[in-house]
Amino acid sequence: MAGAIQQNGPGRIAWRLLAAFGGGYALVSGFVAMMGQVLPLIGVARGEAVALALMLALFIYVPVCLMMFATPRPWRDGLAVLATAAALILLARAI
Amino acid sequence: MTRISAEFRHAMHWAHSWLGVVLGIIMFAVFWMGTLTIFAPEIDQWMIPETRIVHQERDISYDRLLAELPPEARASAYINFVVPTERHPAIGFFYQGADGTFHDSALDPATGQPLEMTDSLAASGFFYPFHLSLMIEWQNLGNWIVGLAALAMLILLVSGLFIHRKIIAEFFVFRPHRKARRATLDLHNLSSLIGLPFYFLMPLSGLLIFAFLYLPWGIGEAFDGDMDAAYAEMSGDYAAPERSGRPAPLASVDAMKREAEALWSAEEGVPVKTNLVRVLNHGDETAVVYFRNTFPEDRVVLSEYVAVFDGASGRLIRNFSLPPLGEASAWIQGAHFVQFGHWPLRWLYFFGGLGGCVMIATGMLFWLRSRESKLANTSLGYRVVEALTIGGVSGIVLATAAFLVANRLLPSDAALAGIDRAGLEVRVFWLMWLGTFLHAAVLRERAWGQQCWAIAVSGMAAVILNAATTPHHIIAALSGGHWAVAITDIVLIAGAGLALWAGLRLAQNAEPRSSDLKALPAE
Repeated sequence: MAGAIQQNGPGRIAWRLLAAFGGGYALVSGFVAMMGQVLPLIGVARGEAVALALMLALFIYVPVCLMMFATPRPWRDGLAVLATAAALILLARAI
Repeated sequence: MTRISAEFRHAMHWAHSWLGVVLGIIMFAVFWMGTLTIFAPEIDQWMIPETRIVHQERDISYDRLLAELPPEARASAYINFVVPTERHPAIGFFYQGADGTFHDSALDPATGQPLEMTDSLAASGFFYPFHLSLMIEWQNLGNWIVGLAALAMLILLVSGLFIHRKIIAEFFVFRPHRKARRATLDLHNLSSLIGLPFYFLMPLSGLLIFAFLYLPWGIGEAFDGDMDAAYAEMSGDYAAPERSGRPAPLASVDAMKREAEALWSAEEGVPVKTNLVRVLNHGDETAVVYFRNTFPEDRVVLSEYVAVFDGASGRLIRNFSLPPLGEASAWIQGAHFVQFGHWPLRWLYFFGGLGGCVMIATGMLFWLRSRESKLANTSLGYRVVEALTIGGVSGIVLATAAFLVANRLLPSDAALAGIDRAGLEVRVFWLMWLGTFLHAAVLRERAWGQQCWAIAVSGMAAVILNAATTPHHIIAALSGGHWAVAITDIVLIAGAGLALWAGLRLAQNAEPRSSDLKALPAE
């Protein structure tokens, strides 16, 4: 059985890689920024909030990459990754 | 119960194969250099014989060291001493000159005088930065490449777990006498599973160590973009004010050091010592003195405490200790640095690192073996991967051995075309490594065996040259308490023996390429 990933042309594979590594990077950057802004609102020190976010970041980044390699709908899921990243960044900037 | 679909498994297989092929050589180089870095202080002593000092506990007066500084260092805005330990018996000393360049040397702990040292980057100056950045400094590109390789390694580990259906059973299966492809896969599975937690820990903690480099925006956002504030709050860094230009004598640094250690010990409940004594703006009224316990001997965690004193008055102006989450993060980072005083665990790390090298190398080899019958004679891509695999695995080991041989062969005043002795050693490494890729491209599979022979010869040559050019041959090193030198020699001999054995096995098993025969029957 041919896997979803083999049914892709070079463009879709490039998109998977871009969304995995680039989108994942934006997502964890936004996540760290958001945690650094939100947790202090409930009394966590800024440095502690960022330290926690950094420790958790890879537990987000790696699954995002795996999901982007595995998904049969790379365009939709890649856009979802980017949209989530944008939302986190905007939230962090808004606080 | 949800089952893993064949399609998902196939996608994981795709990611596992291609990330491994594309980044495998970088991962191998990083793992290999990281493995050597575990014993960087010991290799430093081997490569810089003047630092082969038997460590003795002694009270070192930093007031006296500062009083005896050369004039340029005395006027420096940044003076740094690294407190000697059993593994670093000399006092580390570096300062920033007026032109901004850093000057690095080592001081004799008995006299405080600078040691006349062999000009070599050695392990701390070459293997360690290679491990972090592949020695590519431009725009931190090397750090980013290594970071990508670390992320890819985590992806490879997780995807590897998904693609193996019988992962526990595979742990107990190793059939070295089966066909090469089968034996390679068995060894890949075995080496992957045996050190799996270690292989997860290393890239994860490595990425965390460089989080400030990799995620500057995300970190800085909580501090309104002020990274100095982030460093100060998260790791106790202290930015000294600008020099005022008004001279002022420095209060006793030894007294400040005692006060810092007393504070930390009272907080921790056990004796805590400083590893780092830093004087900023020396001789100026804005001078500050900074102490940090970077590498505690008896704990995994890094840099728990920082104390900063006003230089002129000797008054404590900052006493930083890691908060709980910061301590958890520093523990993970400390588990990567392995600087704590635990020799059995250090050796376990060493063998874990070698296991990681085996895992990566057998992964790349299996990729080649799987495609050998179809592509070996026709595909340029196959031949490129083949040459990169051979050069990337046995080639880097040979280049490392050549680096050690060059260290013992080059005269103390060696220089060529404006390149100093340390630079020449590094050039030998690069040229040898490049040569191994070309050798592999031309000789293909035969290059494995020849490079193994060359590793064996170079490893033994390094041991013989150490005996010929220094007073510390193995017996003398053992009897004189120079364990670092003796063990480095012993590891070199063991490595040479292993390479010799591998070369012999490869010669015995040399057979026509399977692509020249009919395809092997399916396993």
